[in-house]
Amino acid sequence: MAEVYNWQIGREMEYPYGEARPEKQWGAVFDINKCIACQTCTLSCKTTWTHGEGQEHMFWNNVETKPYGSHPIGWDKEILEELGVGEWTEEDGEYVYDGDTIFEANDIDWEDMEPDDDPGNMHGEGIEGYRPDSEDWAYPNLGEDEPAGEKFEADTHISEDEETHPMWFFYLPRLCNHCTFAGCAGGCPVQAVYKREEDGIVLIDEENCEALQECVRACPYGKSIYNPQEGVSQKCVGCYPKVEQGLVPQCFETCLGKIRQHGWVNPPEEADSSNPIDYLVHDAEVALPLYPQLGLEPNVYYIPPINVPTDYLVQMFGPRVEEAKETYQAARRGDEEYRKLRGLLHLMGSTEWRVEEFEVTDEEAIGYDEDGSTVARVPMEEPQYERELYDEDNDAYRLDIT
Amino acid sequence: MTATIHVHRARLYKLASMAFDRPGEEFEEALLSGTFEEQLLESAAALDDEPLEEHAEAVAEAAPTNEDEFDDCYSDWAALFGFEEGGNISQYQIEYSPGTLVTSTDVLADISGFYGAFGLSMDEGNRERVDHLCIQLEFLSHLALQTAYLENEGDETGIEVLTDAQGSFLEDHLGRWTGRFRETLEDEADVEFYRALAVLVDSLVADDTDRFGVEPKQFEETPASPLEGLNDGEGDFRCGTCSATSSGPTAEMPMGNRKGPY
Repeated sequence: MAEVYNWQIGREMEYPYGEARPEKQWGAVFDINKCIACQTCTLSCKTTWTHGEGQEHMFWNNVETKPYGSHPIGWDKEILEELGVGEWTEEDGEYVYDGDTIFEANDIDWEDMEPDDDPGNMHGEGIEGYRPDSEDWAYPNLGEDEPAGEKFEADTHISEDEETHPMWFFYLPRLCNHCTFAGCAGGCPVQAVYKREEDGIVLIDEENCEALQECVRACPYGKSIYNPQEGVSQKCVGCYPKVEQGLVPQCFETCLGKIRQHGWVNPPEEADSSNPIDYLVHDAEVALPLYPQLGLEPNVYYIPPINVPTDYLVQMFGPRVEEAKETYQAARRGDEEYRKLRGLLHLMGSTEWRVEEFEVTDEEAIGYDEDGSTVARVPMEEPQYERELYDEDNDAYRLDIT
Repeated sequence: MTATIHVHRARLYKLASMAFDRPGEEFEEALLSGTFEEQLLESAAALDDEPLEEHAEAVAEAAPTNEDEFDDCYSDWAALFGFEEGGNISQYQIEYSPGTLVTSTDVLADISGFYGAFGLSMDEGNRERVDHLCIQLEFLSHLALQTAYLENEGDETGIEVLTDAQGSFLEDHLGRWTGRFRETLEDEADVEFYRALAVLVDSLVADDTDRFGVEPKQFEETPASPLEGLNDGEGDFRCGTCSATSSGPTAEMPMGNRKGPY
């Protein structure tokens, strides 16, 4: 039985292949609180990678409104319903997921389902999943800006100590998670999906792809997509040509809200506090994986939105949501204890270069690239200038003085 | 291919480009003086292709011959292609291809690349989009003329470059939509001159795709729904007869590097 250790669910789990972590793992942190769904990321990806015939329905990067938006339609609801509700138990501050992952739900003995190159051996069929209908790919912005929650009156006032809002929605930017235990790679009957040793990017080898669409079925995030024109499945390539040059992917670079940080992510025992992604994920623990209970160990991490009820967020990001929100709010308030985190949040998205190391000084937060050269520098306090309210030269009062 | 043929090709493309553009003074003069008709027929005849010649004659027949007819021609153009009367027949390639302008910026870049590679740029003040029919026709006219020049010079390498470029441009761009453009005019326009002109252009392009040995894939009329036909209800195409065969050490995750999978 192939057992791998998935730290996000705090236990060993079954997977079609043995554990094989790459030398480095492509990773990311998104601060959902800052996303405004301008879709610049979506379009920059679209014009870079999926502008061809047969790719009309593809959005390797999309931004959906939660809870009602989803692309492909219902991707998360569908898989959560299939798996049923699983519990998280806590022991000494560590959380363990007791439910089944998509690799375990069908009680497959993966050793009996040994993957090989024979396409007839559909070993991945045992992975819980479904293949979206063509219609499901056709409405990428369904549910956009639709709020959830109770009705509130015109005079409803959300006080400052109110934990969450009575009516709420938030934007969830999504792309391939370049999972450590990728469903697409686990499901492919001809082993055309592989993980790159040097950066952990998951790619489909189009020359070997036989269009069996098992990766489409096995990816619970709906990020492996069939191209009927080319007769192959395709997915986000992590902008590997840019990543190889030390740059961040297109959707990161073009992000207007600077909500995205790209970098390498390590497993917890190898975490490096000077690495921005490791710091956000393992030290500050403000950034959480998307649906960790599915069992793929996804490598895009999210800072949960503070205005949204915790129960919904726990389902989506796991049991550490409450602490993450508190830490994030403390950093934003300016608590001295979280100064380093605040500095890093300022630094987020401020350069097109991959920040591999960062430090926070009295004055600034500074980002360094692989060679230790400074690639970003932001002040801890944004300089603010105030003009005189009265403009003597023109004998007029100014409306905007800060 | 002799230089003469390329000169005639160049002239036909140039005339077609002028004729599909918003009718202006230059075109009016060419029409009313009879030069347009004369050159059109001469060049079409020189290419030694009977259908092409017939199409050229049809254009000549329908072409305006006096000032009143030219004024009508201007109104017809405006009604079909112009913004002032909301003409809804597009003269832009991207309107005939799948996707939208936003998702086709790479196509515009590729077309501009073709122009740039041959040292051509838009006239100062001309803000037309690069995928416009007239500009594409003019570009081919230019390449044909250059080919003729190099034929005379005996520059084999140069001719090869130009031959490749004309073939690729027809295959990737112009050749993919002149058929659709002709059909659109046949369906939606009742102006004989422009209908005949579209037939002539399509036939000229078809001749040239044969000449350069390329097979442009025509844009489909309605791009198919992305996954149409895949989920037809039959669904599962797997045989279902396979069972586990081997058992052994834990399988290894497929890994690779930047050269590809191991």
